[in-house]
Amino acid sequence: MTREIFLLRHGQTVWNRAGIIQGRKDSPLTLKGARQAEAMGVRLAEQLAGRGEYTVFASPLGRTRQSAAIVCDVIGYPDDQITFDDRLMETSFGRWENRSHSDVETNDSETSSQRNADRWNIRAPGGENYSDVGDRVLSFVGDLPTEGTIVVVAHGGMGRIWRGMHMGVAKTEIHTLPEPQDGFFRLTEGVCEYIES
Amino acid sequence: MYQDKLGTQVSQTIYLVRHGETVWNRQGRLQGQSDSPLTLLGICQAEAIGEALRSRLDGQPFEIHASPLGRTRQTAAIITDMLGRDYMSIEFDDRLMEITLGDRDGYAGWKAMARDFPEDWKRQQADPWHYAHPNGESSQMVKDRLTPVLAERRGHDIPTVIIAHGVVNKILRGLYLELSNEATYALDRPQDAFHHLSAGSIETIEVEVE
Repeated sequence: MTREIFLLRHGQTVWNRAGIIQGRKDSPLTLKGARQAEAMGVRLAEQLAGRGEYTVFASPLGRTRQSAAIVCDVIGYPDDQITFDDRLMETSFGRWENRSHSDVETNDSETSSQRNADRWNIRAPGGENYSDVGDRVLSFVGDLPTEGTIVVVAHGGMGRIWRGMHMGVAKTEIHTLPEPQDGFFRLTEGVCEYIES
Repeated sequence: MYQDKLGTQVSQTIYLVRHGETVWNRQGRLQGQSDSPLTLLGICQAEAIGEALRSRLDGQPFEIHASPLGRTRQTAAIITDMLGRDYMSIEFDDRLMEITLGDRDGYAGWKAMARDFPEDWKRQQADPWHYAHPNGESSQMVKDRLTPVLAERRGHDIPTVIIAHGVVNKILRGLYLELSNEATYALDRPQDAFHHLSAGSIETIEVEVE
């Protein structure tokens, strides 16, 4: 059997809703976000039925810990067996974190436009570029077994960088990939399938 | 309005909420000031409490204070959503954090504690109110930091919703009713109910969790 990876994003958070950049900072799931995590768990349970053993990994940030706890409750995976891995954390936005997108675009317009023109190489001040994130995602994937079923609860930004690399999407197009919270992705050899909750 | 011992007219209504069930609650692990996320049941408890509060408050203005630990932030996010209130309007207060077990925050459980630290266990049983784990707090120390919190609520015309923790909420209730330390220590710590403090007495409001 080949390897399949179910890649989930955490549910909606308070800062997601308020349009505030989180990065490595954190805010709790909203009620909607908790329900989204539950719905993902329900759909994931259907996918996992009859699969046998699988392993759950998650980003150690609060919002992914919260989402993973909910998902694991639904699928029946023991929460003390979740493996937290720093390489799954969201892209760091450095000094832009805890600021709104519009604030950054208005008041840091020069760096913001430079970054928009080349996200692969340009970093938010004190943050990461796509290449940095790509390196750690590849490192994480490189440590995974080559066969079996893996569930990853992580983030929107690093999630689309992961999927972009997986699908060979042009570096300048990766930021246009969606970051859903009402569904998740199943990555197998050369394929990235969206599964709606 | 009721009058306290000094004959001062005090109008303070407090709704005291404990965070919903967490992963470590369910495992029997002792959290203290370490943290773990809410379980699905914990989320449902927060939702049910939020709904009950909404109907109790019935559109009245209110203040909302919470412990800044993860589990209370998570509970507060759900409750403010149920109340139609902005999460950013919550006043986070470090004094509302749970009692810390110091070096033993996150320990496997009471049985493991008793087994691994038998001398400390004896001392704790002998005087639970004043006992503190290494680098931790005693209940008395927590009472000392909560006393001004309750005092600050006096003279507030509008109700306060406080989202905090098991031990902290017991001590706040003990302070409110002027209970002995022994009686305070013996109070319960429900997660499918919350408390309404008003006119010198406390009402327990149970909620139905789906």
